[in-house]
Amino acid sequence: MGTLALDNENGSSDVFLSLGLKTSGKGVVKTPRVLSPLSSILERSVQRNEMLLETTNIKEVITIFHGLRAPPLSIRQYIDRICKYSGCSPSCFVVAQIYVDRYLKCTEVHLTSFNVHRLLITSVMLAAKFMDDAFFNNAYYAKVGGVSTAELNRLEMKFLFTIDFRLQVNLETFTKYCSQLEKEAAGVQIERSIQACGIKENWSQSKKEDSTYARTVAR
Amino acid sequence: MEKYEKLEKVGEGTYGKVYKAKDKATGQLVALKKTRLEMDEEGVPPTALREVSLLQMLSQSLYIVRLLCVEHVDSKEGKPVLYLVFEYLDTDLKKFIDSHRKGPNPGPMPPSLVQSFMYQLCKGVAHCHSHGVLHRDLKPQNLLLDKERGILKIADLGLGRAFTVPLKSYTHEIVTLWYRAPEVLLGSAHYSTGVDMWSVGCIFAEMARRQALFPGDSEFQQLLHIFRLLGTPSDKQWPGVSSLRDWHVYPQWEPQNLARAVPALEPEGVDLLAKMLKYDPAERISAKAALDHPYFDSLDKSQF
Repeated sequence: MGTLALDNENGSSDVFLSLGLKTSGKGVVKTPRVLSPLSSILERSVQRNEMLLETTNIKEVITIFHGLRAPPLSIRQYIDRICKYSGCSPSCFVVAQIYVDRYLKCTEVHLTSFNVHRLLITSVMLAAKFMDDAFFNNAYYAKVGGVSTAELNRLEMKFLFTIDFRLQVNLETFTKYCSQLEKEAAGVQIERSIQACGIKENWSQSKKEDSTYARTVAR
Repeated sequence: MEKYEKLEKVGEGTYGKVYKAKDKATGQLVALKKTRLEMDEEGVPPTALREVSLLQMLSQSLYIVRLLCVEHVDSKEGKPVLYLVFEYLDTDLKKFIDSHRKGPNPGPMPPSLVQSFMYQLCKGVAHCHSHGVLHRDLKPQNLLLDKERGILKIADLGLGRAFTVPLKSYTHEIVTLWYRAPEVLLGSAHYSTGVDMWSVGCIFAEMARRQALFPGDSEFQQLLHIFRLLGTPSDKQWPGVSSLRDWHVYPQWEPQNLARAVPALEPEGVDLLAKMLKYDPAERISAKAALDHPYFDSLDKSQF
């Protein structure tokens, strides 16, 4: 009666804690851990798609999320920047990932380095506006994201109508994404310890074709 | 928007004007909520954004107002306008209660109608909660009525919020004062479905009394209204109350007999009301459990 559904789900609560979505008490979390696996997943997806578009005849769909050139900031740098200035709940980044997936599913669009930034700033902003009680307005997010307010307003409207305003995320979906991120985070950890042992160099030299993949995971 | 013929302005919503209109093709009456987007800085107003996405999901319930569609058009001046198109209902519970208090034929609401409205309200709230949504602004004005068919529907989800995923602390600027739960008034960092159930209790009492149960005019007065009827809460009955952010030392009142505050209500009704107005949110009855309360035993549930 009257308790949060979360409190009964100790299993997923641990995952939430480990991703920095929930604080265990007084501890002030600076950069929630979730940002790192999220960036890795998105970077890998972008690389896979760009490879696919290069090697096949699939035609890239150009939308208003598509920039003329790829912004100089990496996905990780961009996400860190949004996190630093938006002050939104860390959960908004998980929700934003869910929104981006919903958008891609509703369109023929592939995530590439030309559209990932605009999709990210729009979806994190929407997650904050929908989920959080305190959030910044579009003009502020436009500055954080490096686009004009008018453009961000257009992106917001387009995004909302494309996903048919489906912003609610149920606990099941949220938990599923969290465990994927958690798994990814564990992979990043292993990669780091391999690097720390000095094995990484030999390993990546002997497996050249995988080196790009390894780099994004380790970042 | 040529599809609709505007008939009259029926009110100001949280984010714009509301019109009664007619769908020219079908003759169906609709309510048009107009959202101006000229506030460039803000983009789509968060209240509109929440209302649309929550209703997309909740509208299949008979006890939640139906959102028919969302239209994005450019006004004559070239400014973007968003229209939310709702089914039209002729009145709301506030106007209905008022008409029983001071209309041409004042008199109590029939007990069977109070019972039926309460059941529908609990159905609607249970539906919201089972989808992980807190309404956070339940009050008679936001409960629309179809008088002919005796149907009640929950509207205005602009303050709604998901409560399933972990989020930063919650705002206390929710719920119209008279229907605001004590944990919100006392500044609790987290709250949940209990805030809606407190509002449901206040609405229940208001139907039976034909006037508000706790008509405070400030947050402090609001608490005193509550304490005077239900007694000043203690840590014994509500663990942790004295460590809430806005707790002060209050006069010590003894709980009054709740039945005397709602003389028109039968004993089973008073019992349900008492369970909705429990101080400790963890002890407050849930909407789903309320549906099974003996108060509703005499109700013909087959119609719902």
